[in-house]
This record gives sequence, structure tokens and C-alpha cells, in this order.
Amino acid sequence: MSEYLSRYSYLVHIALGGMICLFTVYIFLSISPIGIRMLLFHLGWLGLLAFSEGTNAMLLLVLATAYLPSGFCGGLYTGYKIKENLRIIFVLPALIGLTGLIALRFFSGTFNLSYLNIQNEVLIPLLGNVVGAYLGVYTMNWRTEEARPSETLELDLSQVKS
Amino acid sequence: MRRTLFRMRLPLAVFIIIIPVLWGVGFAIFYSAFTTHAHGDYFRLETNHLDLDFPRNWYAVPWEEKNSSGDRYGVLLAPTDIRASMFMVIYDENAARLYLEQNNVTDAFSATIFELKRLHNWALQKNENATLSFIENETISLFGHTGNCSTLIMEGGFVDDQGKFYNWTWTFMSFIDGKIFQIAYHGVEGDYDLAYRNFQFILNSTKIKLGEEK
Repeated sequence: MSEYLSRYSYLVHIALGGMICLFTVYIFLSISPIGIRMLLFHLGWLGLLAFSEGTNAMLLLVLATAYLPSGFCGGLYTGYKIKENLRIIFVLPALIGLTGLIALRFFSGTFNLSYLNIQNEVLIPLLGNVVGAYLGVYTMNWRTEEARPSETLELDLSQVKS
Repeated sequence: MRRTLFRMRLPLAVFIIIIPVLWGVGFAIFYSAFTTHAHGDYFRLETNHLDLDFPRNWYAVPWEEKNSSGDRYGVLLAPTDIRASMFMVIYDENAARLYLEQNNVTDAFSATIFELKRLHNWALQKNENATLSFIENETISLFGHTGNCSTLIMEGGFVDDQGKFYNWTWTFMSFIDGKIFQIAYHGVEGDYDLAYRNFQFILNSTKIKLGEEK
């Protein structure tokens, strides 16, 4: 029974991690592109978004300011609550977050399957979320030198020759 | 194996390092694009179908639409601080043939009138009292092709978010020479005059590849 509850709580924590990932990516995506455009406007570079180099650079900046941090936040929560099977579990909040984001965009009409840009709308968000979640999960479960239990040598006095 | 970096847990340190590195790379790419495309106060946009200069702080969105009935190419240009924008659309031979047949259009003048009627009908959906006043209608020669140009005001044609009506000035040009090339620029109230000099600059800098092969 307790094993069943434990497994159930695992799923809840993974789902919560995914929701945190989704919530933070939604917030960051509504702020960071506007901020980057304002910065480009002040530099007199806004027109660069017409060129493929400009859109790629913009994508890198959004990766750094939205997708990576949101994956990291989801990973931090998941890593704080779950301490086992991290190699498999870290991917799940990222996938839940990305799936939620795609569903949100689809139902709000901003995700058009006929004009789908797989690199910009699926691969880069997936990469950012997964890498962020990996770093977040392992930040909470990283064994540092200081945290290691100190190893002590016990001296067997019977083997000491007088 | 070293398990900390700068006295932080290694994954946290990696996360903190990745963010500024990505920003640095992003801005390096922006700077490289800036040095490549900047021509004074303008950027030079070169596509397979047209080349043009546009102001550095305007949005420019080149697009293509390819399907079995023909291809269409275009660019949308818009400033960020005023309510004005400019469109250019090129129809290839197949798309042009279909456009002429479907819309019962025979020449540049009828193409311009057709588009203006369509525009007026669209404005009427927002304000049924929007009226159309022609300012000028003339034959023009541009890019080595003769076409038609009309300028008009739609009184009360633009409706903002608060439901307030504004006069909307449009200039529309059509050129038909196997392919079809259409240009439109517009502005709400005084914004048309504010953007007019830039519209003219863009138009004068534009080189279209109307009769050329890709």
C-alpha cells in the first residue's frame, strides 16, 4: 500500500514539475521576446529580424531567456521531491511542459500545423526544456565534496605490534 | 572528478554559464548580420524576387506561398511607432492567370479597382458608413513596366480597439506583364504623411525581378 502511495506521489511530483515548467515558460515567453525586440529597437537593429540570421539569433536569445530557465525551474522542483531514477525522470517534466505549451498554442490558434516550423516551435523548445530540466534535477541531487560522509580509518589495535 | 565550480554545484554553475554564453552568441550573430545588411540608415533585403532597402527600425516580413495553382511572393514592411504599413506581392505566371480568371480582371487598372473594392467591402464590415473618396488615379511607369496607381481615402474606414473611427489613406499600384506585381501602402490619419517619405524611398530602392527567371 505504501509502495503504491509512494509511486502515486512520484507521478504527482512529476506532473507538478511539468506544470511549473509550463507556467514559467508561458510567463517567460510573454516577456522575453518583447524585451528583446525593445532592446533591438533601441539599438536600431529591429529590421534584422527580416533576415534568417536575425531569426536564428532571436531563437538563441529566447532559448536562453525562456526555454532553458523554465526547464530548470521544473527540474529543480522535481529534483527536490524525487531522489531516485533521475536519469529517466528528468525528461518527464520537460516533456509535460512542452506538450502543455503546444496544446496552449494550438487552442489559442497560434500553432498552425500547416505552417509548422519544427525547428523553432518543437526542437528548440524541447532542447531548452530537456537541458534545463536535467541541470535543475541534478542541481538538487548533486553530491558535493563537502556533503560526502567523511570516511574514517579505524585502527585495529590488535594488529598493532607493540 | 571535480564536483563543484566556483563553489557552486556543477549543474547550477553550468546553467549560470550557459545563459550569458547564449546571449553572447546571439548578439554576435545580430552584429554580424548588421554589418552584412546595413546600408547607412537602411537595411538591404534581397530575395529571389525583389531587392529593396527599408528603414532599420521597421519590421520586414518576406514570405512565399507555393502551391499547384501557382506561386506568390511578397514582403510586408511596417514601422513600429505609427499605424502605417506597406505590402508588395508578386504572382508568378500561373498564379497571375488564375487571379485574372477568378476575379474577372483584364488589366492593371481593373486589378487596382478590384483590390480597392475588396478593401472597401472589408472596411464596411467594421463601419458600414465608411465612404471611399478617390484622390488620384493615374498611369505610372515603374521598374520598366507601365501600371496603374490609385490613391484614396476611406473616411471612417479604420476602427481602433475602442471603436473610434479614423480616416484611412491608401495607395495601390498594379503592374501586369505575364506576372502580376502589386504594391499597397497605407496609413491612418496623419500617419500616412509621416510614413510617406519612407514609402517613397522603399519604392525607389526596389528592384523587382518581374520578367527574370529565378
